[in-house]
Amino acid sequence: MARIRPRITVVPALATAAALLMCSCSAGAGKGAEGAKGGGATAAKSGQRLTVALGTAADSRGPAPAVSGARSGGTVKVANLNDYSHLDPQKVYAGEGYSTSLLWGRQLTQYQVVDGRPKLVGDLATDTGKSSDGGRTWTYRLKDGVAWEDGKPITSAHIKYGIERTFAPGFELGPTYWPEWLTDSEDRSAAVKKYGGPKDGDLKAIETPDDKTIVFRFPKPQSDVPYMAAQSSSSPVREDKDTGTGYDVRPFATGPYKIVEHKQNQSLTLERNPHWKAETDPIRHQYPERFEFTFGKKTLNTAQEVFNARGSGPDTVTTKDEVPPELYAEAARDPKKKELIVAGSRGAYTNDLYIKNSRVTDPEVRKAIHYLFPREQARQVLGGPRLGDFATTLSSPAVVGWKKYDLYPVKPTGDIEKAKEHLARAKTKVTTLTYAYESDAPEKDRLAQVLVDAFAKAGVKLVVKPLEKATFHNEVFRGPAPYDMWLSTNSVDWPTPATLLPDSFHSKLDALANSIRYANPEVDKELERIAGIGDAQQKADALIALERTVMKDVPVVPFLYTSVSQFRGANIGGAAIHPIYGSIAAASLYLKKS
Amino acid sequence: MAEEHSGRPSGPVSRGPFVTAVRAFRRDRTGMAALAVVLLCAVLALAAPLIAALYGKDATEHYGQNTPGLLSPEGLPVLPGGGISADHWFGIEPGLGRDVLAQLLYGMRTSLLVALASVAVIAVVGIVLGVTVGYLSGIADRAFTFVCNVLLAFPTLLLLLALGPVVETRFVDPGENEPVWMQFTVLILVFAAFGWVPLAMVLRTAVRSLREREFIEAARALGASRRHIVFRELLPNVWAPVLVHITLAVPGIVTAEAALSFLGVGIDEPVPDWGRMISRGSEVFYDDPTYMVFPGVAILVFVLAFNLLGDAVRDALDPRTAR
Repeated sequence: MARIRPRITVVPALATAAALLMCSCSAGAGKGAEGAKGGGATAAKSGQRLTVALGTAADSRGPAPAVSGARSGGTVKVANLNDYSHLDPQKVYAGEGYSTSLLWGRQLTQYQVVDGRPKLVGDLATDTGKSSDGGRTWTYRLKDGVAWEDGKPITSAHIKYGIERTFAPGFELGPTYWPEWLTDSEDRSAAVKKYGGPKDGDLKAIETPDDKTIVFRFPKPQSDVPYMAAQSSSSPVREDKDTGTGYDVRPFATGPYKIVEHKQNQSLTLERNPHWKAETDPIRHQYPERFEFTFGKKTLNTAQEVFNARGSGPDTVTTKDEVPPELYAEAARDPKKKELIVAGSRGAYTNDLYIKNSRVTDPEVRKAIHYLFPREQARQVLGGPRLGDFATTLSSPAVVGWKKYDLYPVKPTGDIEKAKEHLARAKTKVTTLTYAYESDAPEKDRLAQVLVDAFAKAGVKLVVKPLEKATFHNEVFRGPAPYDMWLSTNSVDWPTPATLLPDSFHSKLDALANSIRYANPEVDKELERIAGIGDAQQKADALIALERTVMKDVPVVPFLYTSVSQFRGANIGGAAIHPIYGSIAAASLYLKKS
Repeated sequence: MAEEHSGRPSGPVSRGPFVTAVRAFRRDRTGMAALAVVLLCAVLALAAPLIAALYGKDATEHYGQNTPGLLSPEGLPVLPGGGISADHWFGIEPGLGRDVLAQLLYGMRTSLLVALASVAVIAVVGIVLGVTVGYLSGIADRAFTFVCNVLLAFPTLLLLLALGPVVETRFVDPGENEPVWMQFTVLILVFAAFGWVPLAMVLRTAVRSLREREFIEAARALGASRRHIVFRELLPNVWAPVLVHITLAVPGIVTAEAALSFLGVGIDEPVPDWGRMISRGSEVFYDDPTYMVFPGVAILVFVLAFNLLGDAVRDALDPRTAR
């Protein structure tokens, strides 16, 4: 179900700046009488919270629908604070990595984005896959004319080799779905015992009857194969070009650009790939001649250059970094600068207050926390509406089958009276709760104070524990986690609910997956039933229905459907947040003049 | 250096060196102004709860968040000048919306408490060690110099940065907040542990030159005990450098504490702290520069007053530097 949320925008007017104190008075953030509503045309289309549609074979034919006003040529400069941690397609496992690697890498399927609406279409394959045998067999046919950067055609064996690599040692970092699904294993370590990667020879579960056909045979029905086929780990790899760890620095290109040079943590230069044919590709464009990535410059400096059009600022864009909080309000106030902010939904990410269910066992107490939680104040202290919209559901609106529900409606500032009622109903009186957080930024300390304040109003002493990043992760996800609550940002691996409940809310999962130790036998049983469904839509509907059952127990308190605010130079066109990957989509950028 | 020949009249004009110093100090107008500011600060800090009660504001209450209309949805003060109004004279803090004036008053308490407690420990340790070692010399002196060199070479700031999380995880129960007294104690102990060295070294040199003077020789000839010589003969002659040193150490510690809080290893939320206010000010500098002004000016005035006071004390106690 598609749902369009208007972006909340505040346009503070320039209040009269009375010289109060040494000329350094602040203008104030009061709303002017004529506050313009809504963002620019780009902002409206950028990264809306829309669910993906499945495209047909006709949609999968290239070329990609042209970006209106786009022109060819020039060099786009991309300035990111950090280099991509991986370029090896089977190791990439982050939204920005997925999004940028589309420039040089192609997969079996991919998301075509037109006017901000995502549609899953065939990329190297002619369609999103044909299933048979109740979802146990999936067949893909490759398009004609798809080629590597040296002109050799891409064959089904290359796709198979790429997927075989996900079993090999050193590829633990990537998604584990191929190994688990193809061998019907609980987790990756069990899967690699059955097949250990290309060194073990041929993987029987994938058949390549000819150069154009690839057939996956799963022991159990798998409904989400079309989405998994869009993940970077479903990219082809040529065995003769597989340089092992070197492939992580410079992968061999199949997309519109090829990597000319990659100095790790310094720069990455891309040039047009002459063997890429636009008519085979329904997703990517090839407008600029070159992409020049630089890494290491502080985001604050980059953003100042971009917003003030200094140096190469107008031709610069980021594909990873957000508008620094120091500059945000100023940029949002100035209409010229505001245009350069590219904001949108951060894919299917949500931010929730996690409650450790094995410590806070009484649902009444968890309900009290739900009513207490000061969403408005918490978001305000973190930076305001640009962080996202208030959530009422566990899954993001970007997920297939999402329906809005609000089981325990509460106003965003919290409802202390309701919370007190539920606390009074608790079996044992709660006087103290603990809240743990990563103390890597001062706004998190302030957020903790907001929570302390809210809990104190209901008569609960909130103990706050600032932890080092490593300690936090060790204790919360691997250790005993002697804390009652923490905030957590999560996303499904692809925009269906298939990786949400089954991967985090089954009682048999370890603390890494089910960190809140949620355990409900009824939910476990239903999850096991749903695992056998082979149809993606049916499975999504069953999971979305189950989500309400889970949320009745209030295992977590939904906080935000998160958003991102990135920036682009004035000369950069086509910049929009990718609705699935949640960062500026590099493959549709162009230079307005060069 | 003023010297006192313990008990004996020191010249035809029978005026104690203390009285002389006080007179000299009272003639120094800058010094008097500095003293007035310092005393004002001390009174404000001591009476902070009273002033806050009269002013009607709490230092930790989130006014901006709990009263609609004070902060924008992004957490910036709606009114110009950082939210200055009849209710909030110095404006409100961006984000949490606490009252800046109340925060400043209580922040001064934090600064003064850390500085004065550290200086007290520094004075005691520095005097005892400096005077004793200066008098003893020999092996004790060599050991002392070595320890001093080690301590001077110690990366204090890095130690504090590393110590914070260790103390928190090692000594605090996971179900409890880190007690405020523990944060203060750690800071005071670290400042004191490294702060006594310069004082002790100055005293050691001073005492070494005094040791050979006639009045010490005389005391020794009369059979005075070591204890008597150190505490009765030597100590009264070194109080001037001690006084100068500690008045100059206070502003140093105040800025050091602010720097630590700026870096996030000083005193934690919700205890008001100037360093943390300045750090917050730097985050919102583009949008709300006013917020930086108040803690910045406060710390500037406070440190300047203490420095000028220290200078004035030195001038008054040391007639040779009379201008």
